[in-house]
Amino acid sequence: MKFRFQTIDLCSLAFALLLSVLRPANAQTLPNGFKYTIQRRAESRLVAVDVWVRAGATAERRDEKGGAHFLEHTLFKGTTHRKSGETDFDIERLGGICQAGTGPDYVHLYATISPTALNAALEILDDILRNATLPSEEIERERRVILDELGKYEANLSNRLVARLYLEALPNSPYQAPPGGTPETIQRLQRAQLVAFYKRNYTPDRCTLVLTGDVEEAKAAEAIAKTFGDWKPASNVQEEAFAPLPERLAAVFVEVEVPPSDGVVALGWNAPPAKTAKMAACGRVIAEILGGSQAGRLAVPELSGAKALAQYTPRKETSLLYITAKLPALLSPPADQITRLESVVLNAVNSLEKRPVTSPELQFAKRQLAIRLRLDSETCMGLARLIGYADITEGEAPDAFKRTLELLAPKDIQEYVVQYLRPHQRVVVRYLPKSTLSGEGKP
Amino acid sequence: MRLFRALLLLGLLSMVAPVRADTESQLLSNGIRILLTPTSSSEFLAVAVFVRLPPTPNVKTTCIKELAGRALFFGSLNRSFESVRQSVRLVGGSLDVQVTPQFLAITCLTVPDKISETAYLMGEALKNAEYSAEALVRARAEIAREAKERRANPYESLRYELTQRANETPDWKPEDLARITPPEVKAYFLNRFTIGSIVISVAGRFDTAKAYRTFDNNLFELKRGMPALKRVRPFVDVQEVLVAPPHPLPVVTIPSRDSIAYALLSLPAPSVSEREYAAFLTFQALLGIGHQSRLLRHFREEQGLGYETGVTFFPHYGEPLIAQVQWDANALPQGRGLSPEQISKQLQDEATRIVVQPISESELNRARQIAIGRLDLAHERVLDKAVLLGWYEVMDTGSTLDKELADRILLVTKEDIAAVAKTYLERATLGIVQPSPAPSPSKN
Repeated sequence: MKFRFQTIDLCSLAFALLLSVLRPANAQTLPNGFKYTIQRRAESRLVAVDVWVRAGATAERRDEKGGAHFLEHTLFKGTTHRKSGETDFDIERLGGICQAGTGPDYVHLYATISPTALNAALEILDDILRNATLPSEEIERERRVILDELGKYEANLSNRLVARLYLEALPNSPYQAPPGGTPETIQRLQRAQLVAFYKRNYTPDRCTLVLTGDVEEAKAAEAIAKTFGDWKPASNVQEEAFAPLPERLAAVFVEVEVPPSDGVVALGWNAPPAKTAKMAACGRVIAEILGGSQAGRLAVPELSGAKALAQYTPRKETSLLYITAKLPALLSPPADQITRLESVVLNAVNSLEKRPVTSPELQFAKRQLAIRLRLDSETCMGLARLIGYADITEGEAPDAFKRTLELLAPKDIQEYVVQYLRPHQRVVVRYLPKSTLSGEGKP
Repeated sequence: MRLFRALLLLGLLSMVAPVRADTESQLLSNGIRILLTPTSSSEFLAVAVFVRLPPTPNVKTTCIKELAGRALFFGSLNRSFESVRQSVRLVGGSLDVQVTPQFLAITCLTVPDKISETAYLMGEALKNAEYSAEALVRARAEIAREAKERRANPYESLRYELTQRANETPDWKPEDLARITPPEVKAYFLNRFTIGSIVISVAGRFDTAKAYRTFDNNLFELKRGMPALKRVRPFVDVQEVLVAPPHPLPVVTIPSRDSIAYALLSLPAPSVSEREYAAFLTFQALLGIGHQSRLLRHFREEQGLGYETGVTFFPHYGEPLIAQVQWDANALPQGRGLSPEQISKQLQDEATRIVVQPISESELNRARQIAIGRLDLAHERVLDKAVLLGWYEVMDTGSTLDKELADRILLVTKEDIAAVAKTYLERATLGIVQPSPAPSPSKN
């Protein structure tokens, strides 16, 4: 009996892996300001095309709230070269589906396709970015779809809780409102506002294209230059500078009445922007060390069946590190259970100062983060998303982040705790069952 | 007996069909099939173990099968399943068991240095699952908890109900599990978890020789049953069902407390071993994958209705094809003046239109390319790859199907699509998540 075994040279494999980790993505800029990054993955059979535009909710003016999201939906409804639906059809006949997403700092359009379809896909994206016609009747139809989307989003208690936390924690900042808009803002928006937003923000110098996968770098760069190179840069648009938020001198508490079965609480602390690489990495490590009800410092017996989760996503100018905690499903919780839950969570956060993070604890968190990063970048699109998001928020791309992470020491974490996680800096939103409100502002 | 077994193994080895270049199809020394798909660029290890199980004819056997799967890891190990699962989760991975009408699937995603631990865990369970009274108590409690959580989510409840119907699963309830005894579960395990019914699929970063040895060392003692005799079944033609005039389909309605409504249409699907499987995948793409699919065009492009609209189809997790439309009944203009029943009727009509309304050449081409694109996407993650290849093997198509399916899709014709639509729409079921008539509670 003879088996066919393949021999793998493990040393060569390890070296190749090391090279692939250290090799930086190839970032370039065309003369018109259009940025692009190409990262080849020769073993992939696909290529991810992901174009990021600095046209998220923070780019909206006062009367344009919800406009970034609305526009993201409407971009596909026709161009000067294609009728409504034709951009989708042209991508889909290549085997890919063009999706889009809106965040505070970005809108991005993306598709995973066969490498042979790359040039055609670039041409279609270029058409959408430069020539969308935004027809009135399509805007009205899409408005209804967006309202269905927001309805689904708002039906989720956790989504509402986190949205409220941002509203309370980042007042008067462009980050305070949900990036998708609200039903009210979506109802109000008119075509003229969408057109103005499109013209102002969809310019080559506000775009970053990321290609990952089976792509030959020189050929792809040539195709990018040919496709996007003649896009005229915009005349200088003055952007409002981000005004730093005033320091919080006392904790903020908000209580909201909800139906009897919904008992949840969220605690948030302002967190550093993505561009402060070291502090942003510390924030991620701390969220990891706190973890959730299954592991980390939040996995304490006192939670007894409640679910808690710490999260931090760095954004361009400011962000939040927050913890949401929910009592066991289907339990009708009295108010004191919610406040007890809140103090358990707060104790876990305060423990970071009283019992500083140890080296083994830090190493463990680093390892988990590194593995999660690998998992997130397992697909071509996952990797493209990490690179694009980092570029748009001026944060670190995966390779740089790995290096920063590796260098973090317990004293760095302690520095973060002292600067950002003091009890008086917190904002608390309690969702309490009906008729148990204790009044706004009480700790 | 030993000589006979060795001769049989030799015979089987000669029947092993060549599979895609990067997958080695082998037999462990006791005849268990193992597929090894190393991917040097991956930083993970994925293992999928499938056990082919026959459909159950009644509630009792269904409950026994459910418990045999759920309690598989409860109690036969030096280290508990939960502790291993936790250690896997801590490195960002997963370890899960799923029972479907046709098979049981154990899936594990972990880091390469956990291969021995993973093989040990799976080997112990497949050889020596104990099914003590305590193990069954724990399994029953877990199933009951999941059922309770599902009941709190109308959409998940509806999907579950439609899946059970499409799979013709006997209508069992968690309470029925109490009547099942440990010896009954153990007997089922000993009769069904046999050498010939097991397929192991490993994908990701590993050394093939070492992986083979590791799994062999952990499983060679399993002697129950005979190796699978027939490795690759020829494709089966399904007898065409002539479509009757449109008739009212059965409807399952589940009330919801909020304003989010869904209309669902579930269709039982052909087995992957049936010839029309490629046509069914193309039909799925034509019906509801992509913005230019029939459903998205009809609901979103023409009516501005429905955000989460489209189809899902996960046969390797035992799910039927489910087409759906989601909308907010409170969004303005108020419900668009359509009731959930009217929208579900539109959903059915739109699917039926594929049978009666000619499919254009460009529409067919789009659907084929989308279907092929989905297959490519299913190879990006090592866990998906391990599951897909193992599933093909356990369903007797052989993992060669992985190479052939795209070519089969390219050969699908408009008539093929109309034929599968006709056949399976006959056995469809409609589902509605009925929104609360009152406005939803104030949103804060």
